[in-house]
Amino acid sequence: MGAREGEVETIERRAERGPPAGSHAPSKPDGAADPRRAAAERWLVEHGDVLWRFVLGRVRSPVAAEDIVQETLLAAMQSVERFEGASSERTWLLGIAVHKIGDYLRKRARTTHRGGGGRDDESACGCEVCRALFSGKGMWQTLPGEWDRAGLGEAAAADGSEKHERRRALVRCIDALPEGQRDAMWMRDVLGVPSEEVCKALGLTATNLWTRLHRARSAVRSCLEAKLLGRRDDERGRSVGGGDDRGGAA
Amino acid sequence: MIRFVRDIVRVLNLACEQHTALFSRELDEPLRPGERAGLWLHVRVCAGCRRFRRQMRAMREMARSLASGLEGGEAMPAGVRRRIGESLDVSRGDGGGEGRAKAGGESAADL
Repeated sequence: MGAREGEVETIERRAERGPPAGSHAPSKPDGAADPRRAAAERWLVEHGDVLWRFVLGRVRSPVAAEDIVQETLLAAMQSVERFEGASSERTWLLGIAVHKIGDYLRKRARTTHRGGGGRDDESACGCEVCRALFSGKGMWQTLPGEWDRAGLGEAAAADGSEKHERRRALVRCIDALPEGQRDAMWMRDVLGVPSEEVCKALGLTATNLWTRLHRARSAVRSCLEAKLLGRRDDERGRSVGGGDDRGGAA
Repeated sequence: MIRFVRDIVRVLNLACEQHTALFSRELDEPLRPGERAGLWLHVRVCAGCRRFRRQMRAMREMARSLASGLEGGEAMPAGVRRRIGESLDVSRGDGGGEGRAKAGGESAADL
């Protein structure tokens, strides 16, 4: 990926500089080069916009997004024989982009908090909150919040801005997970990559993947609850002072 | 049948914390009939697990909507698309000079 010291490079400067150095430029694959390139050009046409939106939405920097989309296509060119077609081509490309985004976020975290290590991520994922839900015997100590009462349980019922807010909160919660959990959750829950493919891509056994996903989902659940339900309670407290009791517990 | 009953008993004997792991696993693969039946019985009587399971499903739905939200919206800027297209030439392994020089003449207005 190109230089990204504190994201000082602007998109205009990028235009002057030209495309990022092909850091992962594959060696010339003799006769197989042309079909690969043709495939990459087709991917760029057919899936370029989706890749762009997906990557830009996560890294929020057009410069970095350009690098990542480029690297994704280069990596896909190199590994096209390994694509078995169990998922759609788009899902496969997005899965590669997930890795590239992970690399980028890791590098960015390293430059932003020098010497910070991974502990920040650990605490941000909400694991502490998850652990606090259960007693030592594994029984509920604190019940999960009432999403339905706050209207969070009904995904379809949300209006535009609310939906947008929830999605943003969800992205933030997933991105705050430790790296391995984050990649697994993006691939499996967001992109819908089949479990077997996620296992292959991340080098995990099925059991490892379930464990990882369970931790990730529990952490994201707690994080979402804290972000959305906590905020809503604040608002309710400020405006009405209670009131809306629809009764249904779960 | 024996397995079915054994699964029900095993699931009913699990603590709620372990049930939550099954709620997550059922999003990835179908559980065995006995496990499903055990969970079904358990959530009848456990409000915490009932709520947790529903939230797992709502969250999955929300997560999937992130992917479907990619269908419409901002398109890749033409300049970015061109540079990436050219970089695919560079990737053929010729050192990249030509492709980059070509793209270097790009105007910022294309973005």
